[in-house]
Amino acid sequence: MKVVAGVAGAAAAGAVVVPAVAVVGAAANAPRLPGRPPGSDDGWRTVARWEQLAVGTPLQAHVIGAEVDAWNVSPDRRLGTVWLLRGGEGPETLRALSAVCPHLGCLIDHTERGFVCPCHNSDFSARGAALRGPSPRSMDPIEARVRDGRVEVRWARFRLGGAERIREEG
Amino acid sequence: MTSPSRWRSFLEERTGLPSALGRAVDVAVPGGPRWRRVFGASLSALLLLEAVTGAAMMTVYSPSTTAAWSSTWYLETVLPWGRLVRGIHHFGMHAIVALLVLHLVQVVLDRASRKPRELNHLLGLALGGLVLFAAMTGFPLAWDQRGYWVSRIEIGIIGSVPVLGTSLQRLLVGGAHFGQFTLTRFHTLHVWLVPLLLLLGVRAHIAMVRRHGLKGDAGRGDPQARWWPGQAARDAVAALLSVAVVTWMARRWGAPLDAPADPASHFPAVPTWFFSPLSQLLRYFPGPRQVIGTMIIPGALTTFLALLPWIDRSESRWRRALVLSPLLLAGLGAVALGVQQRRGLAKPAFVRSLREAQHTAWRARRLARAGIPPEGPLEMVRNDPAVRPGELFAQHCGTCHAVRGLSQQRKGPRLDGFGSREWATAFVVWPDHPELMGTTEIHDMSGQRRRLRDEGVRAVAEWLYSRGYEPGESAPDAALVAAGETIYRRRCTTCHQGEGDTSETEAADRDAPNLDAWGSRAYIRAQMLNPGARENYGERNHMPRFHDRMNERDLTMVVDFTRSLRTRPAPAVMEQPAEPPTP
Ligand code: FES
Repeated sequence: MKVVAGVAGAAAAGAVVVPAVAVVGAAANAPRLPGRPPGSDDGWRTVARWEQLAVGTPLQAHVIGAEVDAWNVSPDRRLGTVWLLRGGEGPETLRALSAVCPHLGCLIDHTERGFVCPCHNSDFSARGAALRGPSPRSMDPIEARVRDGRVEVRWARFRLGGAERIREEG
Repeated sequence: MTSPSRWRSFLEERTGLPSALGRAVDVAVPGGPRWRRVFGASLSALLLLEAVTGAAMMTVYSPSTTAAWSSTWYLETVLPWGRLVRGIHHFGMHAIVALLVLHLVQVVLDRASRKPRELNHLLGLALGGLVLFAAMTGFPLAWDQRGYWVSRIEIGIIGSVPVLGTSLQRLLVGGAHFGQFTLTRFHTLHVWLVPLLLLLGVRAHIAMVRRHGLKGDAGRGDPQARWWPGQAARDAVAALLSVAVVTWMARRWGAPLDAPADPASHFPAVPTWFFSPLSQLLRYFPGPRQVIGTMIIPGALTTFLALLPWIDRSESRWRRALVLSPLLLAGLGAVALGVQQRRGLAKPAFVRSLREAQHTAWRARRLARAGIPPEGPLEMVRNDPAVRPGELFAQHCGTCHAVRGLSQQRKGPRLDGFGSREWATAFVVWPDHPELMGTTEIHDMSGQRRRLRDEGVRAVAEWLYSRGYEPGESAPDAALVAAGETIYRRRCTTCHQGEGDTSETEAADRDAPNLDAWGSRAYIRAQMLNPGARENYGERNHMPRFHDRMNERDLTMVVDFTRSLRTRPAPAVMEQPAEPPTP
């Protein structure tokens, strides 16, 4: 009798709790919308024109695209912000850095001193290397290229807070 | 038999309620009632107040990224009493945290955590943690800038916890990024799970207090004193006082509502006062040493508090002072850190970004009054008709064209006044002026002025003005327009495309832009979409094409904005000198 009471009780509780916990856990992995399989978009987005960039003056540009958040798809959203650096004459000198601070994700500003994060005073060099402050690593590079005078980047986000640079999927 | 006692025995027989109530208030308060023991009651009152106001707000609030801010704004601004209820909920939370600190101080000083109350002390600490968690999960629910950014930082701290951090973070946030699931999860935690745990915890806490009796002052006062009515009266007055203070603060200041959360903005995120010491601590521990600030120091402090009943066992004053000194130091340290953080807020850069943020918030609340589109409040702010067109213009056109207050570039003509008579006149009079075509490679208009008398210039400018004129604006002078048209069709169409006399050149050789719709929306649009079209500047064009760089809505905004520039003063270009200065 005691066994029956225990087993039946536990089974009844489990039948309720397991699916409930599972659904909460599943949403943590942010499943993709079935109509938007991976690879349905190559990810390159135009953010500026090459001639807008001047050597030595980083340009802040917003990455605009469709943002998918759970069931919402919003066209023309700012997916993120990048700093574009031009090193010299040719387009091969283009570099793009994510403006998201690797520390805790505030947006990095540019001042005469170089790149700075206003939140906890992380300083970065003119090329994005971490100099001072709590940022655990240098600014995260973003893939960039020039096509027909258009500067294109492939936006990506990285895990915050660690010395290691880990790309966040989805 | 008097009727009250009849009722009493009637109820007693059926429910046992009266005697249960009697037992409920029969708590030992050795030493008699004291004001210093009212914290528990005030805290309970405030927790109840949070539950009531929270439930009231749930009837309005909608936890979605596109509706959270909007529904909060509606509650705050449109619904009568909404501001008060939200304010009470907001300041209630602050008051609870403040009272918790006082309660803890009282417990420590009164030795109220010692045997047999150790477990209740631990439970109390856990409840304190739960309250902070409730505050943390409630903060971003309005999905405004401050809530969003402060939460992102807090979640970042959780993520930096070794080993478990990342999974915990994903579980809380609902994926890798802040978004819809963050809101639904925080909402569930804030309105359901945390209150449920708090309710059970507080019940157990109070039950244990009743079991042990309130900690008394040994040897002083009446050792047999009961809670009812002396302490009860004090508790009630204290509860009333806390509620009154909270309500007053709510009326006076109301809960803040910033601009809608914008992940792509720079927001000067300042945590609430009770998280400030922690956030200030972060600044001192860069990089991999961050765990010291986020985990080790707060963890050590919590452990010390938890072990207090076993550490603090002496009755000697001096021994106690020694044992408790780390707590005093920690308290002073927290205050110092908090002050240090507030001092940092006076920096000019910070003040500036704060002011900008306040302005955006003000604009957002203003725009919302006409209703918020279904895409959400962020889109509403982004498309603010007072800001967005100028931003777009500065971003796309300002890289070459000068416009006062937006851009200083001079790779193309200044567009202040573009479309006006004055601008047209300036252009005819001195097209190669550095504010006009001077810095471009197109100089074919040079010297054309000489073919016209002054009235001719006026007439052509008037005709040009009439091309983009819209009803409601200063009406063109019909006679001048007619005269101007005649001159233009005879003289200018040698180069300019469109109807007119082409006797001097072959029609096919004409390569200057067609000005028949000059300054109109259609003209601006065509020029933006394809400036290199034959109709416009053809092969000599240097202006970029915007056909693939803006969506229709943005394009329309820029066109409208450019057209609106005609009301601004045109570049002050006087007559071209006989010998134009070589650039
Ligand atoms: S988020 Fe950039 S320094 Fe902390």
